[in-house]
Amino acid sequence: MRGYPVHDPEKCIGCGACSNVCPTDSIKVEEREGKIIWIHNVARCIRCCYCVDNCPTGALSVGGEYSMIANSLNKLFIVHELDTARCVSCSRYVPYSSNIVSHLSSKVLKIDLKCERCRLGNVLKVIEKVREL
Amino acid sequence: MVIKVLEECNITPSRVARLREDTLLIDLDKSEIRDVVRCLVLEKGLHFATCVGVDYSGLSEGRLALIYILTRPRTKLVLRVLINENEDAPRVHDILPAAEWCEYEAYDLLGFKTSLPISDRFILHWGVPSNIRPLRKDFKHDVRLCSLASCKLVEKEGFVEVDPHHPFFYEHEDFLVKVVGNRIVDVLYVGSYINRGIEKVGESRLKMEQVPFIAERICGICGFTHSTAYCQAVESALNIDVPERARLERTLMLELERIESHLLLLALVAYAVGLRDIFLELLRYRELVMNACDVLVGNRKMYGLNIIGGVRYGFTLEQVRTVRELVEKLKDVEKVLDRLAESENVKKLKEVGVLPKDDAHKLGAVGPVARASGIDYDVRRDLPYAAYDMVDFEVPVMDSGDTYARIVVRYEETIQSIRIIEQVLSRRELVNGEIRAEYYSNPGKIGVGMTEAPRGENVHFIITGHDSKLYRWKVRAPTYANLAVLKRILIGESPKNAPIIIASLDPCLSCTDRLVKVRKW
Amino acid sequence: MKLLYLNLGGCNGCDIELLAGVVRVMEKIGRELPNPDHGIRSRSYDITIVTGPGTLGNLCRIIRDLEKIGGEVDLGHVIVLGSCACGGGIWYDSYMVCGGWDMFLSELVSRGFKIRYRSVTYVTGCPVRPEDVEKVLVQLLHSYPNLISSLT
Repeated sequence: MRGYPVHDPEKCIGCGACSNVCPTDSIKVEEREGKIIWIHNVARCIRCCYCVDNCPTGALSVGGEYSMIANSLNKLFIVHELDTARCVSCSRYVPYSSNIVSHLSSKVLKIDLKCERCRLGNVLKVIEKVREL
Repeated sequence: MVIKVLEECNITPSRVARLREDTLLIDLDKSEIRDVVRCLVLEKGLHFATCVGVDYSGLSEGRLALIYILTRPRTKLVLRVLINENEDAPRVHDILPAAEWCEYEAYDLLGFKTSLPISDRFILHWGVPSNIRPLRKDFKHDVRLCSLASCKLVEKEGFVEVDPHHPFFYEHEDFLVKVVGNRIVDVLYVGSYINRGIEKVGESRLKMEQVPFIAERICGICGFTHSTAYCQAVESALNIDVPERARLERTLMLELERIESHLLLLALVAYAVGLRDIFLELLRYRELVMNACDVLVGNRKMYGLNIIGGVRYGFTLEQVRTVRELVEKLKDVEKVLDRLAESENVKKLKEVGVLPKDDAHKLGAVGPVARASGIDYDVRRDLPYAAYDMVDFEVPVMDSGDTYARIVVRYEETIQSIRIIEQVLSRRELVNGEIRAEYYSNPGKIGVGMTEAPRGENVHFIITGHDSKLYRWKVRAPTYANLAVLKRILIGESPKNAPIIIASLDPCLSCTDRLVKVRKW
Repeated sequence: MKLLYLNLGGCNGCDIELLAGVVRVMEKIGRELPNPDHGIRSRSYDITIVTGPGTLGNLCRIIRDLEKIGGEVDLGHVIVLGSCACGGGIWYDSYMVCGGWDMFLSELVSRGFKIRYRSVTYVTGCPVRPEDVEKVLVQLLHSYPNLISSLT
């Protein structure tokens, strides 16, 4: 049985691929003050599980539960809060959940997670050095 | 062959652009289209599939187009008539009644300029403000007409409503008949109740790869045939070769769906003529098919299997084995269907609601309705798609054109479908090999995808757009073509037969009303 | 028992699963369910079953029914079937639909119609499973014994 997708907050990196491919827009991934919030509106979900096909980390899987019955639409939401990862040098938030470090470290040897500004800062420094030369 | 036919209708080969080996595009002038359609359809006997209105302003300079799609075995003809905003719209429906609905639909939804004495609205007849033309590119798909429309309706006098369905299976659609004495003298069909604006959503919110999911939800009975037709249209436009395994899987699901759909209709026929035990028995056999689908794709309906370039899941040997057992059990349905066809109640339907072959062609009937009237046309054989060129099957055709023939044709088709399924299940390629082909999207490509749905020929027309989205998507469901014969077969009949005659067309209104019409005859 | 069945523009998927579910319910409770009304023809119902996203056409049809009847209508226990009816489904923001039962109801209320109901149950799925239809209907019938006793 192809039930609604089951979300594993331990593996999710908060990339939002699922919300991009969902034909009903029933999955939303939002960023709020240090948290990444994964919201699934099961009421609207059509059980196509296309999100599962497109999840890069295997955080989503086809569930065994098909039906969800409730007396109120508010009870048909699944909400998971994830901690946002922080930049190692300036400790600002980067737009992924903290699981991204463990996910990437299984693929590359060493990872320094930096925010866009710090990465860009490095590039600017290099450019300055080149100019000086 | 086709080129020769076209030359006889005054179209030189230099004007014909080949989009794919079986799809030809011809640009015509507004002054020519009537003669060309008259020559090709009425003289040369080509089948008129549908017409599509397109607002070209997003792809090139601001122009409108009306595109006519004709078919003959192994060829699809796309005739495009480009016109300027202030020109009168092209029209052929006065010489070819089959074009009537699709032309009115295009006029209404795109706001063509016409000098016809028609009411302003053909589809959006719910008191929608007159400046709203949904298929124009400047119209946003999420405007809520529900709060804008006034819902003022016109009452029809002298008509009574018929209820053609099982009480628990009811889409709202008005079939109104006018009765004098004991005979029906006029028929009125009021539709568009189930119009959900699918085409616009597919063109605006969704990306091309997500559209199969909405295409599938056009209909809850024959949804898979819609998503297949859509995928085929895109595959034809972008020149994608689908792997053999995916084609076999599609064939398997399409045939399971056909059996399921036919069994449902035959069960409803049994109920309508008062054979309650056969009704329940057929529904029980239908459950076997639903279970087989559940085993294969994980859902009883809405398979979610199709994707552009192939399928999402590869079937395993174990699944195929389970399905084979279910199909073995399903074979016994023949005995029940025999009992239905032999029963006196069904035999009474001979010579009721007769549709002669000539009228069937002119009104553009398709599928079992056309085949019961002696038109030997089946997309599976004449424009092969999926894996139908790899299997052996017969196309049942009957000549009498009555309600009984329409029931028997479906019965025979069910038996043929079981034959096809057995052949597909026995093929080794079904469980081995690639399931999906890679593709790249290009804007402005035209594709036509056709399938033989349980109710007849199903046409999807697409133009690809920018950003992996569709520019235009048009669906012509089989019931859309078949409802045109309603008046022809109902007038002169006794009103007590009206429900069963309407049911024998197997009208699937959710397909038809994905956009649709009200028409006064 | 009075039954109302509103198909508000569904694709037929849920409707056929409803049929399969109802056949199971009848086998389980050993009684026949009455034939439902397909439009609002009476001022009070015991159970209302809703499918479909609530299309404009069906909105106008229900408005026509309500205008004919006038006054307050009691829908009884409402069972909302399928993703479309629960949350609008895949066409939740299409121009032709209201987007589910709640939006449909609020559209009717904003046009000044008075509608009452006792409870509402949302059954999700696309389409719903007959098991779920059976479960919800049987549960409802068991918790209101006077509903069962009115059946033959």
